[in-house]
Amino acid sequence: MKFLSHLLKIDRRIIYIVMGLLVIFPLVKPLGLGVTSGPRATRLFDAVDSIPPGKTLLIAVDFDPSSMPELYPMLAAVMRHAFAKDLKVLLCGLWVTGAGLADKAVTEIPPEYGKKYGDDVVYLGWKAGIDAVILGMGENIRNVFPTDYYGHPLESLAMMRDVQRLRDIPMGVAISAGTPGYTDWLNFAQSRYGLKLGAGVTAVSAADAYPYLQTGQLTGLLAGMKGGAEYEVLVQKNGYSKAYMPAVAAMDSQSLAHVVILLLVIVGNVAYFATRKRGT
Amino acid sequence: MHISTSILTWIAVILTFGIFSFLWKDNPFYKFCEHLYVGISLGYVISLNWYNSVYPDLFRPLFFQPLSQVSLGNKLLLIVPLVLGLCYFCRFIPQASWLVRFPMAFVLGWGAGVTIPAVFQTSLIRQMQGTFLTPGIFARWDVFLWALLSFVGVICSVLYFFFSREHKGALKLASETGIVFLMVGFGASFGYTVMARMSLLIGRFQFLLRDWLGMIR
Amino acid sequence: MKRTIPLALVLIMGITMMIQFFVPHPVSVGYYDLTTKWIRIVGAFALVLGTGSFIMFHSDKTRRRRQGWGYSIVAIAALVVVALIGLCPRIMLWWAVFLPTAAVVLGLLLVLVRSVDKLKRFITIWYVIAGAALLVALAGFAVGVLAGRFGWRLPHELAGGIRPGSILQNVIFTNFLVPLNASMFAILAFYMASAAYRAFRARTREAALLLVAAFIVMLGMVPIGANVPFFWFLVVAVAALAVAGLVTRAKALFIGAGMLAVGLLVWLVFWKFRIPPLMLPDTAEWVLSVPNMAAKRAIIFGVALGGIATSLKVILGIERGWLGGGKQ
Repeated sequence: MKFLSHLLKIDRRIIYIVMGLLVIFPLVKPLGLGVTSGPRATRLFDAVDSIPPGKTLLIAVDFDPSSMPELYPMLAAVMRHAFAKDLKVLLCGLWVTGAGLADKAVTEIPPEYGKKYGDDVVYLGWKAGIDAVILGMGENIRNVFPTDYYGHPLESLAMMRDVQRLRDIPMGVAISAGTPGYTDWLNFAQSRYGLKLGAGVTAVSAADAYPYLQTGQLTGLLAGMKGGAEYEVLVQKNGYSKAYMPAVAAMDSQSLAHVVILLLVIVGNVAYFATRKRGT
Repeated sequence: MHISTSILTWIAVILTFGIFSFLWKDNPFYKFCEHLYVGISLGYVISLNWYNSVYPDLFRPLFFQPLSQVSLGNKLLLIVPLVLGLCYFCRFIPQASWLVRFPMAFVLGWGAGVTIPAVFQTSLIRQMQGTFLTPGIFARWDVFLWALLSFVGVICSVLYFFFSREHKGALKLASETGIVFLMVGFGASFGYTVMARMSLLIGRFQFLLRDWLGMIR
Repeated sequence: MKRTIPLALVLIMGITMMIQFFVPHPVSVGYYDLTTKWIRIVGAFALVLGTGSFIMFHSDKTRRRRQGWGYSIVAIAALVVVALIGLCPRIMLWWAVFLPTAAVVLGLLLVLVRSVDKLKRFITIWYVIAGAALLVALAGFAVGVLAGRFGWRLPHELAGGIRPGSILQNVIFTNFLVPLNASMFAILAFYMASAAYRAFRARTREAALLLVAAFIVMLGMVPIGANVPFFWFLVVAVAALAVAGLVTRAKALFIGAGMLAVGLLVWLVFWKFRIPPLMLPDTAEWVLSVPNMAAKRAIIFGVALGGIATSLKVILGIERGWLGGGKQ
């Protein structure tokens, strides 16, 4: 029992070191556990897959660098899927610090498919106002974004000739880290303008999205890094991409980390209850 | 292993370790990085706010676009939000700080008015529709069972938050059932939260191992 | 008047926007477009409040030489430098790289000089270096502005500071903002591990239920759980309960382990002693789709009704906290 009471007093820095090493190891030496796609990711994939070529997919980049490991792989995978299906991609964002991430995606991904900025992809940028931005886009996108993020007037961009308002867009995917996020798109874009919506969210808010999935308000959900990995696997399995899959590569570490947390909880509880009973 | 020779990557790595150093103990290096982060974030937001919002929506149409592009009427209308926006600055002038109430009233009133019907539709009506038991659930025994369980769960969880009456008798039973559902819900959220936090750490390690040390491709 | 007019404004805006939702008349839509546009502009100015409070707090701390005032200089300097780079129309590459690097190096030196006793006498030299760097920076800024005004051709000229899409924006974003922002949240993983060990105790039945649900979701949602039948998870749970009962000598845990073992046996009999095919990810999916969904929906109802009630209170002037205090 002395051992258990010593175990309870272990320095937290030792836990940090053990945690760090167990997360790093599978990144360097992959365990090869593999990733299978779940029903929610498959539903979103099928919904994007069913959009006719030439139509526009709206992607809302509502996250910042703090959620980048979870959400950027989703953004990249959805964009690759859209380009492989010859869809036009329209990006916008409600988070100011996410502007650089959307810019990075627009710079890196379209050239893989020979897509041109202005003809196949447009990034509208960020605008203050959250609900006002969504509501304004519902009436007329040009009222909200007279120019794109880089200062080009929307009239000069070939892709935007057929897209005047949200009703011209068959589907949107809101990739969000919290508020503002997919709930704002649901409240304003879907309820008022009928935009079909899928969502990619951080794992923290994934459990909260299930009521919207059940009612059909959300067509598919990508939850955290696992959701990103599932979508990456679907995109690659269907032959739409051969790019490096960062979320899939991280899944071995994720698995090991979860097992470690589980063991820590169990050992901590056993040690606590054992020492408490004996009054040590 | 192929260590990066880019100075910018090294700056990113140093700043990363600066933040991580807090894990050992609070230290001047961490405090420096923390304050640098706050300052850089705010400076970045200020410049993006100018280029994406204030300049294209207000200053350009009001001052820099000719009357052939923006009519006089529209220019005059833009003075209203300009004045309201400038009222925010009055927060720092004690004698005039009451003027802040005007833009706040405008934003609060607009937000409340727009949100009420939207929330009604999305979070109340559609969610209630999803809760009700419809004929479709009788297609399979398990669909029926889980729909019934969800229905009971929603009702009991809502009743748990009903504090206008003492939880006695049937209300107590419903409330305790609601607690079971709520605990499972919070447990699921906790499980997902663990996943989220670990993902962020894995992402940082991927940067260090791939972009800095070149140990993973 | 100072309170009445804002309250009247809230009432008018709230009621008109609520009514507007149901009225598709062009006048209503025009009003909606106009107010939406105004809100975006006014919302952009709201950032001023945050920036002003930030500068006031840190300059006050510096002036009063309160503990950690040196870091306040770093924060304000970073804000000013990055905002200047962003708002300046034209800039030279060497100055664009020089400025953030100089700020970082000077900041590190200041921290070093102030924290190490033997180095404290070099503070004057630090002031000289910082002053020189500031002069160089201002000179570069002036050259950049004049180059833009008179159209001078300068070597390595860059169009735009943190103009969207510029190289400088990428440098500041990718090499400063991303590592700082991402690392700040990444260290939470370590705290989670420490908290899991020290604080997550199944002291009550509800807490135990929470932890069991968390375990199912944690294992079911990652690849390692993808090949695990739920049956084996429950077998491990029986073993864990039995061991815990043995260690703590708690009868309830033994009874729980026994009941669960009997349940597993019945399940095995039903499947004619083959392992039931229900997998852990499917169980996790069920936990998320049924009980979790029910609980979250109840919370959505509560939040929505609370939000609507608060919004109505604000519109009708019952909730006046936003007006602030004071006799005015």
